[in-house]
Amino acid sequence: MMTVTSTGRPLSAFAGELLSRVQENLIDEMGDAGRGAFGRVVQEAVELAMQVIDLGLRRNPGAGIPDCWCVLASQRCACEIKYTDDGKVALGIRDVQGMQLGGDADGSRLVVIDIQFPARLWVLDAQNIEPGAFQASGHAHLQEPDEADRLAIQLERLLRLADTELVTGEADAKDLLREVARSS
Amino acid sequence: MSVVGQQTWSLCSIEIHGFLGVGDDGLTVQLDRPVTILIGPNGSGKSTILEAVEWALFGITAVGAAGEELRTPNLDAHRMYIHRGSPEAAVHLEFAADGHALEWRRTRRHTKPRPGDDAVVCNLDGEPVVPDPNELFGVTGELFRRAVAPGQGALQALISGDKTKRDAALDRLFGVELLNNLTLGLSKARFDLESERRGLRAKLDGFRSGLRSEITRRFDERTAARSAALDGEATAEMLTPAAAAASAEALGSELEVAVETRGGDLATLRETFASLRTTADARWSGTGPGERETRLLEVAQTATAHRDRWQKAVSDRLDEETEFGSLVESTGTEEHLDMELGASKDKLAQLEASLNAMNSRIAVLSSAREWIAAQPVSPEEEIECPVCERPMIESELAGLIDVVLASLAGADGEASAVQERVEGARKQIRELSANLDAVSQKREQVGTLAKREQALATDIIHRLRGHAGQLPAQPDVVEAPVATLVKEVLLLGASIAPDGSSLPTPALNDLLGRLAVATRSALQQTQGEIAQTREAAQAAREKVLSLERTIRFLEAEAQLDELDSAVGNVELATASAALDAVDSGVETLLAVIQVADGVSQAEAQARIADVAPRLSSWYERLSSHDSLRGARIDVTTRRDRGGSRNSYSICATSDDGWETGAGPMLSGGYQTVLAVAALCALSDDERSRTSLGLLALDEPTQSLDPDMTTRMGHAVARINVPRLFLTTTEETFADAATEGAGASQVRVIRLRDWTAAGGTRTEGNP
Repeated sequence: MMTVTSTGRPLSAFAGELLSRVQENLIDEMGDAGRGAFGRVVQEAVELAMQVIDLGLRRNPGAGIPDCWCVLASQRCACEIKYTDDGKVALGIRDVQGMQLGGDADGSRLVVIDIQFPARLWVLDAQNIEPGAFQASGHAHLQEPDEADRLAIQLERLLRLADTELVTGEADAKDLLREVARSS
Repeated sequence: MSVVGQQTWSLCSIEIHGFLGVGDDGLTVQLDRPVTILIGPNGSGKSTILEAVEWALFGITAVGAAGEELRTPNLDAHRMYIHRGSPEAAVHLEFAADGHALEWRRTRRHTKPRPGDDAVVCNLDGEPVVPDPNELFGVTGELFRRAVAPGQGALQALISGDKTKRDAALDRLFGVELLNNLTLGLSKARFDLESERRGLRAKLDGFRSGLRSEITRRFDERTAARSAALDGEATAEMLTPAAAAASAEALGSELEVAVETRGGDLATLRETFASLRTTADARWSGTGPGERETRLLEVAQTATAHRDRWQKAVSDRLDEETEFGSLVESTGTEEHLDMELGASKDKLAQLEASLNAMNSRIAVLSSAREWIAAQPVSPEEEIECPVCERPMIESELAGLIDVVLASLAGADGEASAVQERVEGARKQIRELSANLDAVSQKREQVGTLAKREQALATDIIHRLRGHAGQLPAQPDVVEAPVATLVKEVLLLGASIAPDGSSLPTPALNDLLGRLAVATRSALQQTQGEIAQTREAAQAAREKVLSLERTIRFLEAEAQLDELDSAVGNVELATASAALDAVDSGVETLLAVIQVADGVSQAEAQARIADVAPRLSSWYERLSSHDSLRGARIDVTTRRDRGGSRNSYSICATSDDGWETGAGPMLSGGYQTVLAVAALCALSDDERSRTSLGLLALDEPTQSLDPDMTTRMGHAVARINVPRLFLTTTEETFADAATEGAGASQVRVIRLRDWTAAGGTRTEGNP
């Protein structure tokens, strides 16, 4: 069990390398648009992993805010999912509003997958996060280690099932994730 | 107590025992007038008295030309203050201020020379108070050395030819030295931290880079192993230890081999797969049907190829026998031919004898004829017949001989007929001999062929005996008919006589024929079995190969997963976070350094602004130069490695703007004037004021000529301070100062030459 609360929940060598290759492949295929595509693939993977933890997960597809509502531990949280390859994520006002004013949620969570080596997962209490450039490693005290651990385990499981076939186009990657999530 | 820190104290008395050059006899200096001048030769102890005051207050003194504070754990360095041979050093100071009296005593024992172990006693109006010079007099050691008693070192540093030293001395005098030290210290700390951080970051990055490369390599190996596994029979779901274990168990069951999987332990699975592979390979080579096939192939070879050769030999022998029969039929048997040949030879001998007799007669007759012809008689005369020796008419005799000769040797004569008969007999003999040879030869050929036939039959039986030895004792259903027939053949073979005369060819041939058929049938069945076995073995091998690819993938995955511990290593992550913190710390340090630099510069600028006018004023008072009558001091800041530094420019100035600073362009005397002017200007500065009410100038007249010395004495004596303490070797200076301050304001104390026995002594004292 890997738990490093002060530096984010590390992902396995396999998961980190796989995510890195998925991103590289999408960027090679689509240029800058590949980053957006990778973000959507990551969001799909995270939401599918969350769904294993909370069957009642409510997704908010499209450009809605927040990305989803989920019970990762005891409370229902409005969640925003981001990824970063340089340690920073840009939080728009709508992102923050989505998390902090998110419907009937009891709490708010910012889920960040940092694919810098070594890759790690943050599940941060986002109740008091401000919009703007946000660096998860600078807010380690907001980390919810148990939730991060639980989510990381499911995310790892999903990525193992998808395996290197995930290194493909956005649509195929998302289809594959859904397929393996369904079949498992 | 309200008096503390509120008063300007006057030092009234200095009493010294066992300190530096002052022996146990002691030395007391009464400072009962505003100006005290200590005059004495070099080494008489003038500076020692000033040092005694400093030591009493602070426990240490400035040492060295630059006046650095002594900070050393070396006990001898602290013990050096104690006069040689004295058990302790003691200095007693008395101060007075507005009816209050303050006593201060420091005693250092030889056995415990650390300043912290000194006995320091301070009584204010007879009551003990905390002996804190800063609290009582508003003076620290640094301020004392800078503004109260700068000492000769400070004076010399101000006129040093080394600009760095001059700048450092001015920093010290302006009170920014500590700030500069702080800046320099912080800069060094930052530099060291930066350097260390770079090294650690490089190591960390190197480690991370190495780890990342290893992960990439192992990830690629895993991907390749996975592709290879999926190219075989495995599916993605089967690429787990549990699934591999289940597959191994299934295959083990199929191959009828017990397998150990230990729940998918990779090492165990690897061993299991090796065992399964061996089993599958053994099935491939096939010890059952394969060996039977080998045996049957050998029997088949004997029962077919060898039998064919034997049959050919039988056929050849029969053909030869037929030809022999025909030959005998046409020529007769050898016995017959042999008898005929004998008869023919006898007949020939008779004929040849007859012919020889005839030829003898002819020869005799011919000789007789020739003799008659040779006789010298007429044909009608009688002559004795040479044969019968009777008298005969020659012509009659000759005619008779001629007739006989003609019947014997003529063309149709008897000799010719006999000769023909001889020739006929000879021809007949030749023909009979040829026939006899032919018959004999054919007979021999038949015999040879019969022997070969026998040999081949014997060979077949011998071979079958060998095969029988290899047959299993209990042959299976496939091989049993063959074994039975082999036994029958061997049984038959046992009845054959060594010369082969009893060879039962038809029976043997029949048995061998049946054996060939049975063997062929058994062989077909066996090869069918082998084909089936091999097919099954090949399938098993392919399954093992597939499982091996699976285990290879699982091993590659395990090798990749091994790196999870490194990826999630807490120390590594903490080190990385710590380095980030160090980065932040370095930035903070840089900001602090910049602030300290700024404060140092601002402080120096402020002090310069305060001091600059007084410097010029003091220089004017002290200088007697025709032209250089003013002085100027500036400060600039220059960046240097490790931080910024104040760079001072202190110059004498002329009316026409000419400036010259400390260094070779200014004479030594005027450099001293410039330095003393600076000290005096600084002592006037508000920021240098203390409650001690004391200013000490230690030999300020170095390198001055008498005029300048006098001028200096006049000027410094008028410094506005409760207690002015001057030391000099110059009577001229003392006189001028006395004159300048007024004789009633001045106490002149003369020191005698220092001696080892007496130490420092004032004149009048023993």
